[in-house]
Amino acid sequence: MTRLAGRIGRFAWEIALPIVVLSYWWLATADGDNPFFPPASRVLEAFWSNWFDERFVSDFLPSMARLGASYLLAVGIGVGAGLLLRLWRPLGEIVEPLISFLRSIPSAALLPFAVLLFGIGTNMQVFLITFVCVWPILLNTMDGVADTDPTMLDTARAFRIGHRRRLTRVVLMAAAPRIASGMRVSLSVAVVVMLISEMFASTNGIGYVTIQAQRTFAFADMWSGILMLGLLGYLLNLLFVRAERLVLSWYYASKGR
Amino acid sequence: MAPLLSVEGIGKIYGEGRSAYRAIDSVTFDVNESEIVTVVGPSGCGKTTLLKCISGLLPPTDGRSVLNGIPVTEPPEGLGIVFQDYSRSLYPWMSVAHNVAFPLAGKGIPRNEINDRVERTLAAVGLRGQQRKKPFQLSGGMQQRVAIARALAYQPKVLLMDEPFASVDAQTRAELEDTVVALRAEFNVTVLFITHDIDEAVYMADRIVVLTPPPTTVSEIVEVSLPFPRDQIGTKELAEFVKLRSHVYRAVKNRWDDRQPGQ
Ligand SMILES: Nc1ncnc2c1ncn2[C@@H]1O[C@H](COP(=O)(O)OP(=O)(O)O)[C@@H](O)[C@H]1O
Ligand SMILES: [Mg+2]
Repeated sequence: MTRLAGRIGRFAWEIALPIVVLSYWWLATADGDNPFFPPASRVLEAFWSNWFDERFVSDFLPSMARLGASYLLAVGIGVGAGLLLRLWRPLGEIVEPLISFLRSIPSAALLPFAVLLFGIGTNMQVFLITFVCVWPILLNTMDGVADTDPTMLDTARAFRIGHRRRLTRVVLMAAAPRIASGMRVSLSVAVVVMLISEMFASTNGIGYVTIQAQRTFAFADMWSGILMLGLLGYLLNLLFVRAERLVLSWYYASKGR
Repeated sequence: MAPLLSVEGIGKIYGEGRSAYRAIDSVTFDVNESEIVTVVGPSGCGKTTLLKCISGLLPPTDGRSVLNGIPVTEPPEGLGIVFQDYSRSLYPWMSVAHNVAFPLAGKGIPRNEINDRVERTLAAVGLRGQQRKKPFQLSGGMQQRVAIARALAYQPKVLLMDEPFASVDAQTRAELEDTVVALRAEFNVTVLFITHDIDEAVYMADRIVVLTPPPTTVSEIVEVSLPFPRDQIGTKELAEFVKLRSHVYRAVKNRWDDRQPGQ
């Protein structure tokens, strides 16, 4: 009973808090006498007209396409290379220092190089996002594969499971929880890097619109961009966690969570 | 008749140089077709090591095992293994049925035959109707039954079992012992059963291989002439059972006392 009451109480708070914050925002900005904080109604209007009108095609979709393509690329490269480096140990040991170095480079520091390499445009952004997103996935895949239970591998060998099936049905599945946690980290990193690359080296995209609005003192537009980026990060993460729970239900259930 | 499985002077040294550890000195015995041979020895005497060497999972330092006339280098066809730790040997992302079917897929066995085998073996170990569950939804004893079904569905000539019932409760353990003895007849399989439990070793066996402490050798091989079918109460009351049990117990205990004076 008390647990149920506690849950209802927490749920009420979860709903109430955003309402309180939004109401405060609404009231505090209503008179519109601070140009940096335009009235909430104007921000919402800008939000709607920016992201669900022409900018949907010219800026929103390009951003999402870059994000999606880079993310998929990062997952493919990260998981593939992680597997390879663990299954072929000598190679893994040789490149490990290089990986530690590359992953430590901050994404912003790579931007000038990426522009040099690809010029301004989608290729450069995909390169940058992919580059930064690969490392968490790669390293988690390597750890997950290395931590595969030896008894599970012995079992596969004892029953003469072929190499491919051993890889896809045993090793990858055993590593899946680790791979997923790497992918979750990469997802939030991907949004940040997309934003940075669009703000400083792009001709369209959500980040581009936001920084342009700030430069032209269109603060309602700027806030609409910030709102969009916040929502995007939040929703993507929510979606990811839901999907992960579903796909890895065996993992959470066997861990009793 | 040549034995189905012969273990010929298998020895195993772990590590090299100063840290080298001789886990098994030299173990030799035969397993004939349709026998249940139990190998008994206390924890740490190299039973798991021995099983891995026999099955080709681990290269022995000396000697070899020969299955059906062919020396073993990799796990051969015709060998099914039930590991001690079912929770790490079953795949938690696969359903019960999928776990049992997994070794059969990709080997050219028709789909409906795979389904038949899965159904038949799960029924034989008493798990009808649990096919769609995941391993973690079953008790420990039931999980080990899944592992046994998986090994049987593979239709091995020899079933190797490494202390399969060491981590289930006494009641379940007795049931599982009877299950394995009954399955031998139903599936016409030869069983090599490793255990540290002397009662279990005597109860299930046609022959018992008693191991010495490390560096491990065979201390003696005991023929068991207890009648089948065996019965947890009736068989264990027989004078022959009591005699064998004491005999093996003394063999194991004396060896360990000799090795570890004062302990
Ligand atoms: N991979 C290994 N490396 C080094 N020593 C090992 C290894 N595996 C087992 N041993 C040692 O070999 C001995 C026998 O182990 P094991 O075969 O597991 O015994 P049992 O199954 O009879 O309990 C133990 O002393 C153990 O510490
Ligand atoms: Mg053992």
